Amino acid sequence: MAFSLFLLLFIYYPLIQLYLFPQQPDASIKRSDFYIEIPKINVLSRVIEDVDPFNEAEYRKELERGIAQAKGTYLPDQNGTMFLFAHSSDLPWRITRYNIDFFRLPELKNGDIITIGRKGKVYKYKVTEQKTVNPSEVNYLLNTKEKQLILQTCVPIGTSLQRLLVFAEPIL
Amino acid sequence: MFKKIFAACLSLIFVGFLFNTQAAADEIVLSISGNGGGSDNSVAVAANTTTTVTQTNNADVSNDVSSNANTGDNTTSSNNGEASITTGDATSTTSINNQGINSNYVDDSCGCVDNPLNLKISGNGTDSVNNIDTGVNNSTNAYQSNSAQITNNVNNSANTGYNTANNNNGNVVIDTGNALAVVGIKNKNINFGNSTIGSVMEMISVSISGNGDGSINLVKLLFDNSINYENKNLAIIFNNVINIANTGGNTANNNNGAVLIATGDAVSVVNIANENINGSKVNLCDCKITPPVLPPPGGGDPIIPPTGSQPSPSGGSSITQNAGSVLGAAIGTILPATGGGYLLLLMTIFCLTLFLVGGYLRFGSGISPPVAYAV
Repeated sequence: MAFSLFLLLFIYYPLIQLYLFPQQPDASIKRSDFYIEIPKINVLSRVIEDVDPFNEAEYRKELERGIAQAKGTYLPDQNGTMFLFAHSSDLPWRITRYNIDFFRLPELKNGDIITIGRKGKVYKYKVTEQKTVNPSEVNYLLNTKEKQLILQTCVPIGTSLQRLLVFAEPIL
Repeated sequence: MFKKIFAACLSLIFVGFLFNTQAAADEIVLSISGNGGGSDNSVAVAANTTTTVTQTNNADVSNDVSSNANTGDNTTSSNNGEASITTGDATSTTSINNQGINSNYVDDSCGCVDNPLNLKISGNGTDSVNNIDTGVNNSTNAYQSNSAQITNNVNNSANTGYNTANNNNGNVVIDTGNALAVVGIKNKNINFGNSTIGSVMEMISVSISGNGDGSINLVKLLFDNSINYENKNLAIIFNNVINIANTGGNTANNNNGAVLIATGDAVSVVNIANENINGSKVNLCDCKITPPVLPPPGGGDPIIPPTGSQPSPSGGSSITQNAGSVLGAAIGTILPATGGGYLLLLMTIFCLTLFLVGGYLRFGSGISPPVAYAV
């Protein structure tokens, strides 16, 4: 019994820590060239630019360093869709190595504020919609004409069955 | 027998329209109507179109240029008086411009077909079974490959030197002009693939109405559009340049008078620019899919659903509406996987099972029998 409890604690400790012992985000991240901040879910992370979303080996490696901006989508100072994605969970022995900043992404509601900082400029977005889609719906990556921000992670937590998309529009 | 012939005729007509979108008819109607009670009516149509474009460009360009400007190599020797050599400027300029080598362009028609496709089941009797089954499979393949080997060999020289004034019985003056050697090579827009590819979509309306009680009416639509794009570029560029500007190498020996050698400037400029080597651009386009006009549950007139700001793709189409341009990136089939596998779930179940079994063995089992020791 004790062993099973210990194993459960070991697996889920990073997630327990998110709620019970949340760590203060590293403020130095705000001095980096590209970052994202979502105060409601205590996210402050670097954004890795130009990551190929269709090359799993590449994006898995980059996701160890931060949240990925999908190659082919736009940057905040450009007139189009910016697509960011990150882990919500991972294998038990890797869950502490990868950032799981988007674990709490499902908690975002309409009106919540997302801040993107890039090269000294700050861009603010307001959440407008959440949508759960199938993995095959790649049109959200290709249809990039609308100026908006899309955040993506996998749901249900612990699986890659579906994708949660959070849409946000810039606050002018 | 009559129904089979009817179905076959409808199939042929429909397929004919799909393959010839220039047909004069404004509308394609696929209808099962007016059949008696208890009848079993089926129409099945399948249309497959495959468009494959293969483009290959191979270019082998070789430029061999030799340019020489010379005002030097003068000699004045064994004169009784003064000797003087004055040369003008020597300028040699070589320019090579390789632009727009190997480009392929695919412009596949895409967009909406003007002729709407109407699928209609109406006016059939009670307990009839009516089934329209349509499948349209469009596959577009574009394969582009460009290979360019460019070799630029340049031998460019400007000389005002190598003048000789020996054994003169007087003063000697050698005054050379400037030597300017300039080479410019530009390799630009080498290997470029540009494609606009997409699929043609029908405007579809489905109507099931006026059928009798107990009838079973089924309309099945299957659209499967696939696009494969491949662009390979190979560029091998050699720029071999020898560029010499000389004003020196002047000789004045065994002269009885004063010797003055003044040389001009020797300037050598080489400018090589390789721009836009190997590139590809793909524009994916599609028809702005209007949501199918669906009948309400139980039949009746079609209801036009409201249009959303971000319609979700439906059916089997793998390429969706208004796809933007993706430069230099292969298009995958799924959104990035950012969750764990099933192992996390399995390990959790394993731990809980272990916990419950442990609890049962610890608290749920009976009292252990007394221990007997062998004497």
